[in-house]
Amino acid sequence: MSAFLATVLTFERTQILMDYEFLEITSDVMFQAYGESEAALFENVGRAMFSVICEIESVQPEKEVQITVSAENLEELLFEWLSRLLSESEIIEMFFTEFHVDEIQNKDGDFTLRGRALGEDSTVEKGGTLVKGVTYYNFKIEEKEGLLVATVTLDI
Amino acid sequence: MKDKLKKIGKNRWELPVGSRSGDLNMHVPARLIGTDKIVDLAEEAAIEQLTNVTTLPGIVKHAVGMPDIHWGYGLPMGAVSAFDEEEGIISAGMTGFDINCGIRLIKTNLAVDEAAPKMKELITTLFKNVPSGVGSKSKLRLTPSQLEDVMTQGAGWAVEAGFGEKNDLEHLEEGGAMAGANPDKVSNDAKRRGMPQAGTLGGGNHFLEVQRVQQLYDQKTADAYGLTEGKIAVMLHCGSRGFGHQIATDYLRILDKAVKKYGINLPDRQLVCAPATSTEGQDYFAAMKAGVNYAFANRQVMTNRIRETFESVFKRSWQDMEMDVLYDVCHNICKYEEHTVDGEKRNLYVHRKGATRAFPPGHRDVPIAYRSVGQPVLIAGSMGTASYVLAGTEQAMSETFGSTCHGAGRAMSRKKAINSYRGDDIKRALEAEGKFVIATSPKIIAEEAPSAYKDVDEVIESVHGAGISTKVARMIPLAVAKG
Repeated sequence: MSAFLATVLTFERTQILMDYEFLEITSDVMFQAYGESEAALFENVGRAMFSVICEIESVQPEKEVQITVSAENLEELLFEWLSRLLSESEIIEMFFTEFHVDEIQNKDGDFTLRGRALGEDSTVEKGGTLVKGVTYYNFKIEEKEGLLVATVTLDI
Repeated sequence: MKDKLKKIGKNRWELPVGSRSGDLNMHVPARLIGTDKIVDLAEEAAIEQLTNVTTLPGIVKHAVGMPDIHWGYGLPMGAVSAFDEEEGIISAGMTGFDINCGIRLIKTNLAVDEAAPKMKELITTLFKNVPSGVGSKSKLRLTPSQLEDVMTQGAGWAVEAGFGEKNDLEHLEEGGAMAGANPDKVSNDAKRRGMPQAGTLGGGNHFLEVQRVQQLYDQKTADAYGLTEGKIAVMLHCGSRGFGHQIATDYLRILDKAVKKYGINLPDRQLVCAPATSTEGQDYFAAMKAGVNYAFANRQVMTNRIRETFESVFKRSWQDMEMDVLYDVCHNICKYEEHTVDGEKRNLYVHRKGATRAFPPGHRDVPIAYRSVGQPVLIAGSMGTASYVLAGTEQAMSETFGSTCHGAGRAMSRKKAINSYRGDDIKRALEAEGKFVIATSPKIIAEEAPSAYKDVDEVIESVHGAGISTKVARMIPLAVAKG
């Protein structure tokens, strides 16, 4: 195998194994998250956002919050899911570390997500960078070689 | 696209109509304020984002990029655009999430020699007393009825509640409250998010900094502003917290639907907007004003905490230390203002995103104390570098809708900054220069590394040379608390 081909294969494997990765943008935070299913994608996007907000690895899944959101299409549903997680974490002053999407329903174009977020009460010690909001900038879900890829830009 | 920029005067450049490729045409040119060096640094993506704004309905005269311009989401930071009150639009996307993110400067009569021995204690106590960073909690928890008053009365509510005095309000943009805020246009989510966060700094690039007035450039204006070389001042940078962020999120959804309803073609979805005359546009404007007023109240509450901290550290009353508010400016905002365009007076919706109002001497909206010299403009440098006090000018009124820059402007992404710098190293280097830094984590310090920003002196030379605001004072940091 040529060195070039080996590099390409390693890169592709890394892409698939990775749940999310951060991209370049001068201000703010942009990331891509991946998933083999819609549920996996949504969970990874949640993890990516909270890896900015808090020290996600040290936050314990002590308390659970139910999240239900609905929208007209899958992309909107992702926007609603992320925006809901962000508002909820500030309203109840929690950091989330685990995300479970139990169900995504599509009834004639009415999308509903039922899921859960687990975490603990927020503290400065486990705090990260403040996320102000989820933007529409370059916001998309694409399918690439059987993998769902979401691109998200956060205002920080 | 940068290659199409034409230099049209000192520190001013223009991209003529037709410079943009793609489906949507520029209705007006894009203007960029900056020295040659600043324009060299400007990113292609930021310039392209500036031209996106010129395609929107009812835009007037030109879109303006300030020297601190940088690539952001939707609209670049450091941008000003104005829209006709009948034909134009109001945009939540172009105002941004942190509604009325802004800067306040509090003066003192403390000389640097007097304050320096207690600087470490001072910044540590300020960091403790002013909740900073993600996960910090405010002692103040607004009740629903208090929040209603905050939404309509802004800093006035805080003064009534004992956080300061009436004289403070005379030295704030809009007197610390925009008229026309409507709490009914604000969602319950925003209200629930806002109730626990009043009186908190937030995070990211927000900060609280103790500064020394290092140099005066304009003695007459400095006298009017009450600035004296060698004295200590406190600069506060923060906004409307989760309350404003939620209003922005709620209206992104509403205006996204309005874009489709009114058939507006957008070059970037984040520029969501609605016709200025539409219900959706006016609803956003009324909700945004509630966010603006929350931010004014937030900075007023923190002003009180800062004064109390100085009292505990220096064992003197804040009145004795003459801790008066110099001024308070808004960065992310939409305003309904009168401007003269081609000799004709017109009412416009001016969007400032990462830009500061810079009204000239004689303007009715400049506080009486400053009316003979122009509105104070407060510009924050990056962590560890200089900040400036400028004065608004007639040139700003005629060229940039009474606006100027807002800060140094990022030059490097946060991702690259975290990978390039270590927070502890930066902290040590700044302490070696006699500048104390306190933050929730070293990562925050790395993100905000001074080298991740443009040279603030060059940014200031850009606006001063262009005449859209003029130098009054240069301020040097002594200690900074980061959220």
